[in-house]
Amino acid sequence: MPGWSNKLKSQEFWTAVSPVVGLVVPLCVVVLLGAAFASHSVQRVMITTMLLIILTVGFYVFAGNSGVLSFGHIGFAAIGGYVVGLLTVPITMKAVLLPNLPHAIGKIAMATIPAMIIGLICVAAFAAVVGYPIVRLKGVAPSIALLAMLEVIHQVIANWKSVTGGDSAFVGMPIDSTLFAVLWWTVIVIVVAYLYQISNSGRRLRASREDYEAARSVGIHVTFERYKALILSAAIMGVGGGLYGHYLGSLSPKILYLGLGFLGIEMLIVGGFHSLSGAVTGSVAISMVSELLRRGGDAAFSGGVPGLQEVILAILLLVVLVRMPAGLTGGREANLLALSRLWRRPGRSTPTEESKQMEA
Amino acid sequence: MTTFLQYFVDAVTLGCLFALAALGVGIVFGVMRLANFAAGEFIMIGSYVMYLLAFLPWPIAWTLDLCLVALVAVLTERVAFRSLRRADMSTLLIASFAVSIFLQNLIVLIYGSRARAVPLPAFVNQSISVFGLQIQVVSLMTILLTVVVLLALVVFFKRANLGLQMRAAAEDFRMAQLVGTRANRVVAWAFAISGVMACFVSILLTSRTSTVTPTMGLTPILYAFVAVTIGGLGNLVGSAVGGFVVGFITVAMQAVLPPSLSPYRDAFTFTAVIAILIFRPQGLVSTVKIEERV
Repeated sequence: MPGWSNKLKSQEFWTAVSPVVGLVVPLCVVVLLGAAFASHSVQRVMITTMLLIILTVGFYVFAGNSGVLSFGHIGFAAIGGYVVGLLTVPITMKAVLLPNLPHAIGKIAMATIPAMIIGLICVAAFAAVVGYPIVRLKGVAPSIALLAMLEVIHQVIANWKSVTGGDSAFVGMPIDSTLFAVLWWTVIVIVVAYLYQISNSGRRLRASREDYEAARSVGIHVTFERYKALILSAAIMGVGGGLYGHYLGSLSPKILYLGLGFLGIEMLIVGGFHSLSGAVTGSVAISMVSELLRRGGDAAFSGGVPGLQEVILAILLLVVLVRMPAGLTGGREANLLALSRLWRRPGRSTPTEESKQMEA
Repeated sequence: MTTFLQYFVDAVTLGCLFALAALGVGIVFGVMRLANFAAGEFIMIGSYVMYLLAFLPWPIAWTLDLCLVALVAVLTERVAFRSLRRADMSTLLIASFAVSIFLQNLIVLIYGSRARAVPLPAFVNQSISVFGLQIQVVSLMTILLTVVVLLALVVFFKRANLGLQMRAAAEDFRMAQLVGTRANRVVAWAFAISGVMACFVSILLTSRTSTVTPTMGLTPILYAFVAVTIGGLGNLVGSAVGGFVVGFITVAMQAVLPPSLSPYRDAFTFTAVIAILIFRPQGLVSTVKIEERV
């Protein structure tokens, strides 16, 4: 690539990379501090937060950039989790736990990283097959079709006993989603999501989010752009699912399902639907709130009350939707060159382009 | 032949159930462009009310049930959706998802997540034989109720003043407001009707399964959404047609799939539905403009 040395000196370059630096550097600092000083339980909270960042960013790559909501993205994570798990569970364990496994898979056990790569390729391929008819739909129809897709995935996982173990837990994955392993993946995911967002393709998609008809009128093939974003975001969800399995050491059909999907949606909305910084900020904010609720709940009711956390998070989401529809970040990216802007009071968030259209 | 007829009756019954659920979702979508996820929770709450009122004679209990669920539906509109009326479709969809999670977990908080058995009046589980076919009373109830509801809706939308206003609002909400339709009233009635529909579904569904769980709303709402989508969003005839199509596909899958694949029935049904959308992305019956005018 010519002109890298010139690029490094130019202001545009630094403006362009500042959001990703602004997200990655604080993340790395916090995790390094955590690795050095924090207790085991705090480190576990850090890992789950980063896993949720990966899942939310994966969701954002499609939903945030295209403006098309998806209730089904967690399904891609489920596929990723099970594919990676099937590749990494030791052969002897498979023979005991899943005796009816097809022969070829039963004889494979590989290291986690190649398994993750195969897993993300599988998920991307799956999205490439099912995605096109879905992204062709208009209005809320794609959101509903993606939800139907999630239900299909869920049913297949819950019933395919010989491969997934069905309703019971799928166990035996090495627990190697350590703090640093997850950190590297999170950094990669954030960088990839950002590179996509500032690529020509990403910009075309974001243009179509702001004004669908105008984007089409300047020759943007909106369906195709959405299709590409769906495949990329599915791959990221696959990584998230794979890491999740390797963090818990087991998976069951209920883990990567609507509950976690709802959390991902809430994180993106609270952070700010239209920016990568929003996806990350929202993940961190909601993780903290839910951790506080969990600890507070434990202290107050000894053992927590089922349903309480979800009720509170749902109310929080509704309040954010009504009072602060653009989220905590207001749809902006982290900007190192104008740190001062962060201190200016955000004020009542501006209505998004879509809502203006609806009013017009 | 008898087997075929039996399947046909099953398909019609299921189609009726889905059509009712889809109409409830479709009416609100038409007026507000809101695909109301929380309608599944209306169904669930209807079943919990049945469980709680089981000590009353069934006609009273079911009537109260209908009123209460309609009230809950109107309340959700008042509390959650009214302040979002001008928001875009995605925001509304997320809000309805949040309301759904809220209601579902509120029930978990109050009654726990354990399934509960609902005592039912004795007649619903009997079956009668017509020309050698065994037809359950529930199926008969479903079909009759759907016919009555469809007729009532046709009369309502063609003849009643409110129905006319609702159709006008569905066509162009702002224009309808400009010519004197009172938005709050129309939207509130749309929610009330959708609550009543959801409650019908919940009575019919609970009469089959005689259990309630906090998550029971998910499957019917999913089917209703899918039915509304393949019917053509924003079109009530389409919603009803979509309901029947999904019902027939589901029963066809049940009949055709070998036993080893039968647990995947819903998966096959949804795949078939997505396949329909490849050929008719705008839905089977599509007349209303969903795309905003430029």
